[in-house]
Amino acid sequence: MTLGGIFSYLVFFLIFTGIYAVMTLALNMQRGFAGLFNIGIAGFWAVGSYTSAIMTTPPSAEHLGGYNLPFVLGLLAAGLVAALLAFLIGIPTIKLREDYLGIATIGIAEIIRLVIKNEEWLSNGVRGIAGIPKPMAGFLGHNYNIFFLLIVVLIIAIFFYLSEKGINSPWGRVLRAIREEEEVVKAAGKNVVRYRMEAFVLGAFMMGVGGALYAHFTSFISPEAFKPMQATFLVWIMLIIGGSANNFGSLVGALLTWGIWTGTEFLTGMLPAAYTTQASALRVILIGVFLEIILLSRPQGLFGEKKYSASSSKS
Amino acid sequence: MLKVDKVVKEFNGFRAVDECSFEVKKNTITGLIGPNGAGKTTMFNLIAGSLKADQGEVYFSDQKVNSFAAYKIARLGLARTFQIPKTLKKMTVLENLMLVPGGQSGENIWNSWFKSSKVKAEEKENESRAYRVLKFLELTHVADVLAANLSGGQKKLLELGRALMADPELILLDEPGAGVNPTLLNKIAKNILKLKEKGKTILLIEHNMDLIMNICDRVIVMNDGKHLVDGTPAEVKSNPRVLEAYLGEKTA
Ligand SMILES: Nc1ncnc2c1ncn2[C@@H]1O[C@H](COP(=O)(O)OP(=O)(O)OP(=O)(O)O)[C@@H](O)[C@H]1O
Ligand SMILES: [Mg+2]
Repeated sequence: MTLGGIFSYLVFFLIFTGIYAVMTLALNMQRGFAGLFNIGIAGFWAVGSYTSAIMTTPPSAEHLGGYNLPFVLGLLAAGLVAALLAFLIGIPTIKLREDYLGIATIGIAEIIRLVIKNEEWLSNGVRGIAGIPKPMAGFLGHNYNIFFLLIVVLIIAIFFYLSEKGINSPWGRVLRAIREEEEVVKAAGKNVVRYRMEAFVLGAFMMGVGGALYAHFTSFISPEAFKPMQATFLVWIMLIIGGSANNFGSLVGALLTWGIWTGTEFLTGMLPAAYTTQASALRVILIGVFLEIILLSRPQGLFGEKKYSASSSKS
Repeated sequence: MLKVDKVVKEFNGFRAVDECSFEVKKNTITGLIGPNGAGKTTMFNLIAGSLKADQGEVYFSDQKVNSFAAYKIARLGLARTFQIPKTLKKMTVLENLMLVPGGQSGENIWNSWFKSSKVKAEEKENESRAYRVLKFLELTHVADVLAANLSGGQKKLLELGRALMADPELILLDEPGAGVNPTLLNKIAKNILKLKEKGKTILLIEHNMDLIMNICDRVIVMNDGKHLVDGTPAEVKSNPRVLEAYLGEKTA
């Protein structure tokens, strides 16, 4: 590989890392801060991807829309639709014990995958949606991906800032208190269900936007892309490795995990072609070993829980 | 102010509260006493909405609150302490208190993002209020300590502190004196009286009879989940049925 080739691969790698970082920040909002058990990230991811694809592609006979709207509106719509989905899932489940939400989210994620696979009028079925526009395509020529990376970084920065600001506020204090002792929070007159729902919906919004970024970057999406392994469990591993309830840890967890995940692709790519099925299983095993090593040496994840405080006068 | 009407609560067929009725008048200190297991704490949980009554009604500030969620009842102006302290363990003592006040604008995520200056000003106010409560409870030196690291008695005081932060109309105190040193207990008694002067209503569970006799306007006695008697402290003290409940069956 030439130097330029290495550089453009690095940019490509960082864009994917960044998209996963958005997902991990989102899961940290739900799981780390609010203790919500979402194991259907793939569903929100898919909804975000397809929403933005339908919104921004030119009119097509193959799927709903497209509506030819600008990229920014695509992102926004992706976030809003994913948030709405979270709200609807949350209504019956969020006041129940946490495992119910887990079951509901994983179930809905599979249903969503089946819907986009089978409802051709909506999503063009297994053939997927191609030609999802990149914003300002052609800009910067060969180095276009640098521009896209900047967009991803900007979105991470916004989400990181808002998440930190939220958790370091009275709102975040209530959220943290709910994790500690719900009864106390209720006795103080706070609607626990409302706060949980807000964290769930906010996290889902972020996942929707992350899904949209994915769709625009790859230009092509199909139901294959939203399998639980890559879309849900990898994000969980990132969160666990970085350390739950720590936004910075989420970013580092995403970087390391994605690094190892793509690294294993190189390794298994060296195996003879006859072993491709074993190779993908091997990748899962390798990432599992990595997770084990981290958990055995640092059960809290690399960074552990951050100390948050609503009072600006305190550190 | 508060009325409990033939309330029943069963746990697996066992009647912890059994057709119990009583009333608490506004701006009084009412004691709720009875032997261990009489159903006093269960009654608190029913009033505060942490438990739902199987039968009977609970009225608070002119509303029937049986089916209300606990947080809604709290918002009507009720604060309660827990007999076995419940603290936000991984949060500081100060944060445990600052959580409590209602209507904080920063509890709205939108405000916390975009109305920082208003939220900060309120937080300052909230913080000084918390420090006043800490000073009163002689806990100032542990303001920044995680609640998990408090001693048993300090946790009890933190319970009381949360109730004080709430600034409610009706305060349910479940054994505020248990495990608290006598000098501080005196101070707490004085403060309960002060709360009454401010127009608040207090319902107080306590096994310390001196405290009950000294500060209560009325005393309600529960036994085996039932309302046994009520009256002034003097009346209750001299009532043979009360003595029997405390000593009779149990020691016989
Ligand atoms: N969640 C529960 N499940 C089963 N039984 C319970 C439960 N809560 C209370 N009880 C039972 O109900 C009865 C009344 O308990 P409660 O805690 O109300 O008594 P109390 O009057 O507060 O006693 P104490 O003075 O010892 O605090 C007890 O026999 C207790 O074992
Ligand atoms: Mg009790």
